[in-house]
Amino acid sequence: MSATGLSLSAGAGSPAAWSRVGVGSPDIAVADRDALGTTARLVVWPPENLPRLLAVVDSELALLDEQASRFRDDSEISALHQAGAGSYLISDGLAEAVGIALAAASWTRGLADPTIGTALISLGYDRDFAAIEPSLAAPPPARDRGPGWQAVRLSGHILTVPDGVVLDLGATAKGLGADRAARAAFDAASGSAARGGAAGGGVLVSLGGDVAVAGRPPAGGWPLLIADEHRQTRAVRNLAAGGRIPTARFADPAVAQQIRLGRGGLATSSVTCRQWLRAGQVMHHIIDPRTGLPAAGPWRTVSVAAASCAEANAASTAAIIAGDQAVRWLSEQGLPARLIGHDGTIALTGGWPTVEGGLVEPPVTSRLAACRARVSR
Amino acid sequence: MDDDRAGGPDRVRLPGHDERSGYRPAYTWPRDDYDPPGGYGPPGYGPPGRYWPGYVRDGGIRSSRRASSWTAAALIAGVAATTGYLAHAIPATGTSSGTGKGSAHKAQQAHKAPGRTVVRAPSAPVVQAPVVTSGGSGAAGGGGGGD
Repeated sequence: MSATGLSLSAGAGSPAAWSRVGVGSPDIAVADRDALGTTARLVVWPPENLPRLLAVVDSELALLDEQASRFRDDSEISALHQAGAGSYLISDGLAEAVGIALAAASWTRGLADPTIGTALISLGYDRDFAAIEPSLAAPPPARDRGPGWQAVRLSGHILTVPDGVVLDLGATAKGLGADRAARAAFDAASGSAARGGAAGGGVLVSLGGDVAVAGRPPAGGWPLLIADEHRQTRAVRNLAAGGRIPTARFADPAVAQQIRLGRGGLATSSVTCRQWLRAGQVMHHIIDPRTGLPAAGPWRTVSVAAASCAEANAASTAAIIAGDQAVRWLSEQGLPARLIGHDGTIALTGGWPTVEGGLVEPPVTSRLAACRARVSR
Repeated sequence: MDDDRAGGPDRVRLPGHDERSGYRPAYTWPRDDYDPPGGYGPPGYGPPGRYWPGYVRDGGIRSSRRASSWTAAALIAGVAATTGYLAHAIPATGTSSGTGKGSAHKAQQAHKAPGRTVVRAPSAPVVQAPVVTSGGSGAAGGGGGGD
């Protein structure tokens, strides 16, 4: 893969330009840009659809950022946090994002809990990750468990937040963003086709490796590389106080696997990314709501495919936290998953292919849908 | 030979009745779908079928109603299969099978007719190299949020 250096205008007011990326196939078009604290990638075919779909993806990502980022003072969710406990009329987009986060909490029995924002802040993850203090001398403060996700109520567009709760939608929001962007881009491509433009074809949107697809995939499915970037752990452990956290990504070829995805979404959660030091201890961003501390289970990286990227995102996060119970829970859900242990052990569930280039077939039916109906009324 | 149907003295012959025609109604159909025991033809023929000599003439519309539902189903399936084949085969004649640059999207063609636009779906490209790496939430500069 190589960047061509070609900058693509994404429209006026866009904070980051897209860069065209070559992937060795003339029949698809790929572009990257920074977004939501990670890298957004848009892959489309036929390739002539790319220019007009960039603006569509930009719009979806900007909306999500304005609605659900706790790192922006002017976001809707930050306004709620600043206002404190109470009931608020919220936008369609934030209602959807909170509804999915609460549904994920219900589905995962509280493991993917959107009320862990307070714990993340107390551990030092209180700003955009690129600006985080890389090494804090003070030990993590003792934390009470807080009211938990059940204390947050969502009834239509009325969101009730109790005192002391900071919502962090990280377990689902990035997946939701990928889902929204892929759907909107495909709809735009299809609409363009109806007006005589290039036919809808297929769309893939990745936010930091969390992938949503829409439309028709390439023959055999979208080829994806499942990687494990655990070398970053060593880099952080060797980090001297005052240094910068490395953001370069190191894939371990020993555990990498190429797969294909034809529908739904796929997400990977890992404790080896987004790390920082606190009193000499390696912190990471996946918080066990039962302890208020970074999850300490046997799995360092979990990839899950599901009916949507938001669902895959929630499941991969929950599996890291579930620890010893992760394989059983994923199997019960019928979700294809690949788990890599700290010792390099690999476990597969739900028909995840054992062969290189195998097709991952996520369930067609959403596991979150029933939970969403329960928590959002 | 005496005719049993000649009747006794108490029978009255209706005007126009002509015994000499020898007409004997074979059966009075109680309803359209009734099959008399033993069939319609000579002994050994069984129910009427396409090989029974008198079938067409005697069955008429009624026999059409009894046409095998399997035959109808086979006809429908045949028409559907033919339609499907033609729907698939006709656009394919206009597509490119090359593997050179842009081969897949060249296949997509828009055909405009007065008041109507029909867009053919291009064939899906073959992509071998991974288009995305999924390995956890790698951080990049700028923005916010994310797992």
